[in-house]
Amino acid sequence: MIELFNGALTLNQRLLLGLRESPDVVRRGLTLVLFVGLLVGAVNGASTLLNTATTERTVATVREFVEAQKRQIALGPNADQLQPLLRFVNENEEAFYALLQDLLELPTPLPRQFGQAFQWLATTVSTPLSYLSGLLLTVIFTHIAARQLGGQGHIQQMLGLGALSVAPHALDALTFIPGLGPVLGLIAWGWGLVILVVATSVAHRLESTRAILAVLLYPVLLGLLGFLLFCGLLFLAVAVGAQG
Amino acid sequence: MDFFTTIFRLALGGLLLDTRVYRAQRESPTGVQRALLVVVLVGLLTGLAVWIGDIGEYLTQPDPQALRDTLYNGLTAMPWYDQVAQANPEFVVVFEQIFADPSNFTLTANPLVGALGIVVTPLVGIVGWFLGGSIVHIAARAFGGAASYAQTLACTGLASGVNLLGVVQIVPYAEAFPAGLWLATTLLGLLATYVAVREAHGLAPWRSFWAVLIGPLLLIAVLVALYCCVVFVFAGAVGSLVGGAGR
Repeated sequence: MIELFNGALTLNQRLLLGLRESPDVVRRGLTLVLFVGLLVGAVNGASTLLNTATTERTVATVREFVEAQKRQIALGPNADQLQPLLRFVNENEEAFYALLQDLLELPTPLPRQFGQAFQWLATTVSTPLSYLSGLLLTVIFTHIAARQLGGQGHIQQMLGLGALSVAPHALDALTFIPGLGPVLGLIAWGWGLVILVVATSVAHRLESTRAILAVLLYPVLLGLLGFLLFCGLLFLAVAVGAQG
Repeated sequence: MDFFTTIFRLALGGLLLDTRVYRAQRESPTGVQRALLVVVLVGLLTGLAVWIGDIGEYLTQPDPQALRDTLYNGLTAMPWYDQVAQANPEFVVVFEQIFADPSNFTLTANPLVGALGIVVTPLVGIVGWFLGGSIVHIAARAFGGAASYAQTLACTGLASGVNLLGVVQIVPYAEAFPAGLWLATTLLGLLATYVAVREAHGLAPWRSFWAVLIGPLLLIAVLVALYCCVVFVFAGAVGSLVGGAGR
């Protein structure tokens, strides 16, 4: 597993070629997704668990979030228009925190710690599924495009090799560090994209240019379609507004 | 025990898109029986997992009545409540109606309803397998497929192995993020059906692709058409009501 993980991160061609010919290509690829997902889920779940360890801590976390939003609104360009909203929040927030504390302290058949442990476990086991669903969506569209561009790979090879693009997302486990999260997320995404291009190239025996095209074709097309739809709706809204 | 191990391995092979398992299933004289057992076993495991998860949630959630009372007392103690109640007295009536209805505060997972799922999930799986397998078989034959109906069912039954992902719901609150599970099961299910059709019928990739997609596409088209009909009839009824009132 560690060898596969390292090979994916370093774009090891020998490992990728070996994986393509393996009859267990899907199992090995999905095991990597499971490994990365469980790691990220366990760390993120633990981070959430620390922030909600006690009812006081949960309320303090929510309070911090609300204060940050208030500061953002006060410094934003629409601060004057949003003054009534800020006033509403200021008048009600203490009563809201009291309500939140009361709700969190309601008795349950099992002690609160069990619920928290279940929440941590749920985050841990659900994260691999989030990665898997994103991976499947990407792999299906990339595979269709690659076949249209003359690729020869099977869906199993594409799925198993494409799964390697999840490896850099192990960095998502560090997103709880304030200020570092978005940067790490961006690095993981870019790195994953490069691995996906190489994986497509190896799985379908395509040259790099075609592999890049296969990876980008449908996202770009869908993006363009979405943009055109947005423009059309905007045009309609303006036309209806002008008539009214 | 060996029997369960064999069926579980078949389900896992279906989940992992293992072509060797699909080919063996196509050639097996007992393929349909084995596929039926896969569908039932996976359904039972998923139903049981959901039920255990529901029990865990039930034991870690507060009593709905206590939740309702706390929420009511807390909201009515907030400054906004008096302000809105003074400005709009009807708001108080609506507010009281919402809190008087116990069905608005049934947050707790119900293990009794979950227990029904142990029986219902395999049954839904069997019906879905027969329906989906039949549609896929007709489409595959139309695209030049060579497999018998039994061979198609034997292979598509393995595709239900992807529902093993649902066993994750044994962890309480795991379905708090249902989009990931639903999307992963649906997409992997489509891929597994694609592999099943390709291996059962020996079809070329593009033909297998369309044979699998034609059923869901038709279903979506029928649902959209039905939706449009309902909207059309509803708009017509509203239009005639407004017209009648105007006259």
